[in-house]
Amino acid sequence: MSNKRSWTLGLFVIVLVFGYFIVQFLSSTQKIGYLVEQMEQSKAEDTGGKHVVLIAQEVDNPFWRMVETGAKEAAEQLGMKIDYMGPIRINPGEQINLLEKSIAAKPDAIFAQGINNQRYKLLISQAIDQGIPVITVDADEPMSRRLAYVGTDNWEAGERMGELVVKDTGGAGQVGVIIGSELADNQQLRLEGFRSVIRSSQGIYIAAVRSSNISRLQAAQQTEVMMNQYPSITSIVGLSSLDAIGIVEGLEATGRTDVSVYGFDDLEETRQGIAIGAIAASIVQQPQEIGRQSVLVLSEFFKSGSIPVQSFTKTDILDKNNLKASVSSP
Amino acid sequence: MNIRRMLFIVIPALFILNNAVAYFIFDSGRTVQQSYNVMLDRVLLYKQIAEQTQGNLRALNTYLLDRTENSRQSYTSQREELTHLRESLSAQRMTIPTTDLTVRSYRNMIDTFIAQEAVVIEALNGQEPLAYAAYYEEAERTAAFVSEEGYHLIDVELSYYQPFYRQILIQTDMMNDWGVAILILNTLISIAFAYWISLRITVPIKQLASTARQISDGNLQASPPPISEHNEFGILSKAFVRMQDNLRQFIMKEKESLEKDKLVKELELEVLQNQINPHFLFNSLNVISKLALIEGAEKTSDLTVSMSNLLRYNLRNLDRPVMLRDEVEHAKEYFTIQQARFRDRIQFETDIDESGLDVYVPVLTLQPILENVFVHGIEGMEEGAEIKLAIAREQDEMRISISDNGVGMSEQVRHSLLDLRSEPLHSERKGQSTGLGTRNVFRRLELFYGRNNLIDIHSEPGQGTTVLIRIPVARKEDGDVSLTDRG
Repeated sequence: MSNKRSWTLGLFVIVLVFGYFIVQFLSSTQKIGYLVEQMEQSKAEDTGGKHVVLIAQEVDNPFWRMVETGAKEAAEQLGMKIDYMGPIRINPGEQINLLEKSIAAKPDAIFAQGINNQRYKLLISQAIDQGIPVITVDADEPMSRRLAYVGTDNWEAGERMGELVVKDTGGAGQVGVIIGSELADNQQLRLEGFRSVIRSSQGIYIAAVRSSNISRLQAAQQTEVMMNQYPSITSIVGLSSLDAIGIVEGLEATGRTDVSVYGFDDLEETRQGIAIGAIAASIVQQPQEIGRQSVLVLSEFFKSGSIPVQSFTKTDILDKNNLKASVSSP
Repeated sequence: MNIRRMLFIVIPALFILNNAVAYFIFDSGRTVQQSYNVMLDRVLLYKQIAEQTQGNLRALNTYLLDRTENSRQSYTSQREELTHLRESLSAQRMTIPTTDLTVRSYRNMIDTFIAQEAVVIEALNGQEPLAYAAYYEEAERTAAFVSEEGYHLIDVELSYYQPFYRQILIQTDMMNDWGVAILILNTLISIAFAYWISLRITVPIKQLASTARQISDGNLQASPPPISEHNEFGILSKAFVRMQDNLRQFIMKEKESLEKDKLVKELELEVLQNQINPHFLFNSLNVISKLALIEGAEKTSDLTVSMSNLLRYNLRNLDRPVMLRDEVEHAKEYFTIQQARFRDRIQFETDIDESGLDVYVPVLTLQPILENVFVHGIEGMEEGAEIKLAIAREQDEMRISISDNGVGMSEQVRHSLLDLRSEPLHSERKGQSTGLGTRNVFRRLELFYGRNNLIDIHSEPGQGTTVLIRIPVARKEDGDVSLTDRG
C-alpha cells in the first residue's frame, strides 16, 4: 500500500516538475511572441504630412535641440514632420553636404542656418528651382534666394550689447571684441550693431576685434594676445556663445581681474561665470521660439504664398540678477 | 485498470506528450525566426537598393566610356532592377516609427537618382558633347547619398530593434534551457512509464510462474499472488485458486473411492473365506433334495431347495447390485429355512408395496439383518416371536423396516451399530452370522448411495428392535453405474 502511495506521490511530483518546466518554457515563448508583436505593432505607416528638413549647425547642441523642440511642437499642431539633422561637430562643409543631400531627398521645405558660403547659396537656388522652399534660421544667408530669415535680430542684439557695455563702463574706456567667425552673417551683424552704439558714444572705443573660430581655446588665446597688445582694455565682449568662457580663461592666464566680460547665450559655463561674477552679463536668444516661428512662417507660406522676409525673435539680458533657465547658441 | 486499457492510455499519452513537447519547441523556434524576418526583410531591401544604386552608376559609367549597345543594355537592365526595388520599397507601407521621414527621403533620393540618370542619357544624345559630365557628377553624388541614407536607415533599424533583440536573445536562451530540461525530463518520464508498464506485466507473470512451480512440485496449499481483480492477471490468479480447489477436491474423492474399493475387496475375501467349498455344498444339497423327493419327504426336499437357493444367492458376485425384489425373495427363502428350525415359535409378516421393488440395492442387504434378528433378537424366546418386513414407497425413497418383538438392545449397542467408524463391540458374537454383519450392511449401503443417514434403529431392551433403511429411488441408475464401474 505504501509502495502504491509512493508511486502516486512520485508521479505527482514528476507531473508538477514537468508542468513547471512547461510553464517556464511557454512563458519564454510567450515573451518572445509578445516582443515580436511589439516590434510589429510599433511599425507605423507613413501618414503623409509635410516633410520639413531642419539642418542644425551641430546636431547635439542644446541650442539647436531647443530649436528642434520648438519646431516639432509647432509642426505637430500643423500636421508637419520635422526631420532634424546636422554635423556631429561644427563643420560648415558637412552642413553644405547635408543641404545637398536633403535637396536630393525632395522634402517639402528646408530650414538651414546661413553660413555665408558661395556653394551654399547655389544649393539654395537649386532647391528653390526644384520648388523646395528654404528658410534660414539663427543666421541668415544674405544674397541668396532663401524665402525668409527667422531668428534673432542680430543687429539689434549687437546694439543691446553695446548699450549694456556703455552703461556699465559709464561711456569711457577701451573695448576688445571676440567674434565667432569672420564670415558668419549673424556675427557680422552683431558686430555692426555693437559698433554703431559704441561709435555714437564719446570716450569709448573698440580697441581690437579678433575671431575665435567658434573655439573656446582660440578665444582664450586671442584674449591673451589682445590683452598683451592693449593692456588698457577694460571690457571684452564675446559675440558667440563659447567666447565668454574663453575670454575668462584668457584673462586668468594674463592675471587680469579688472576687466569686465560680456558674452552671448547661456551655456552652463557662462551661467556659472555670471554666478561667480567672472562674466558681467550675457545676451540670451530664444531658440525654442526660433523653431516655432520658423514653422509658423512656413505654414503661412504654404497657405498664402507670401511671407515677410525677416521674422525676428526676442533676446534677453542675463546677469547676476536674473539667472534663469535657458540655453545657448554655440 | 486492466493491462489492455492501461496500454491504450499510457502509450498514446506518451506519444501525445512527446509530440506536444516537440511541437512547442518547433513553434517557439518559428516565433523567433519570425522576429528575425520582421526586421531582416526591410534591412535587406535597404541594403539591396544601396548596392543596386552603386551598380547602376557603374553600369552607366561603363556605358559612358565605351558607348556600346552591350553596355547600354546592361545599364538598362540595372536601371529596371533599381526601379523594381524602388517599387517594392513603396509597397512596403509599414516602417518603424522613427524612420518614416527617412524612408520617404530615401525613396525620393532614388527617384532623384533615376531622374538624374535620365538627364545624363539625354545630354549624351544632345548637341554639346561633354554636357553630360556635370550631370553625371550630380548623379554620382546622389548615388553616394542613397548609399549613405540606406546605411543610415539600416543603422536606425538595427538600433531600434537592439533592445528587442537583446530581450529576445535572453528569452531564446531561457527557452532553449527549459526546452532541453523538458526533453530530458520527458525522456525520463517515458522510461519510467515504460519500466512501470513492464513491471505491471512481468511481476504478476513471475508470481504466477512461481506459484505454478510450487503447485507442480506438489504443494497444493501454495497461495496464489494477490493481484487486483480488474487486472487480467487477477483473473489468471483466480483461475489458479479455483484449479487448486478442484485438484484438492478431486484428490479427496479419489482417496474415498480407493477406500471403497479396498472395503469391497475385503468383503469379497471375507465372503469367499466363509463359503467353504460352497459348490460342493450346493451340489450335495441338490442331491439331498432329489433324494428326499424320491423318498417322499417333500418338506425336506423343499427345505433343501430353499437352502440351495439361499446358497446360490450367497454365491453371487458381490459387486453387482440386485433388485430389491430379489432381496425380498432371498429374505423369504432365508425365513423359510429358519422357520424349519423354529417352527411355530416365530411368525413372519410382510407388508410390501410391490410397485417399489424395482430399485437396485447392494446384494445381501436384508438377509444379514434378518439373520441378526434371529441370532440376537428372538433366539431366546420360547414362543410368540414376531418378525415383520415392511416396504413402503415414500416420495423419492423406499422405506424398508425390519422389526421384531425380541429382547431389543441397549443404547450402547445401538450406537455401536450405527457408528460405523468405531470398532465393533465384543458382545457381538462371532461365528453366529453368515459373515456379513449388520455393520457391514450399513457401511455398504452408505458407500453404494454415497450418503449417510440411511439407517435408523429403534430399540430398547425388552421392547423389540426396528431397523429402518431408506433407499433413494433416484439413485438406482447411478448406483448401478458406479458399482459396475468399480469392478
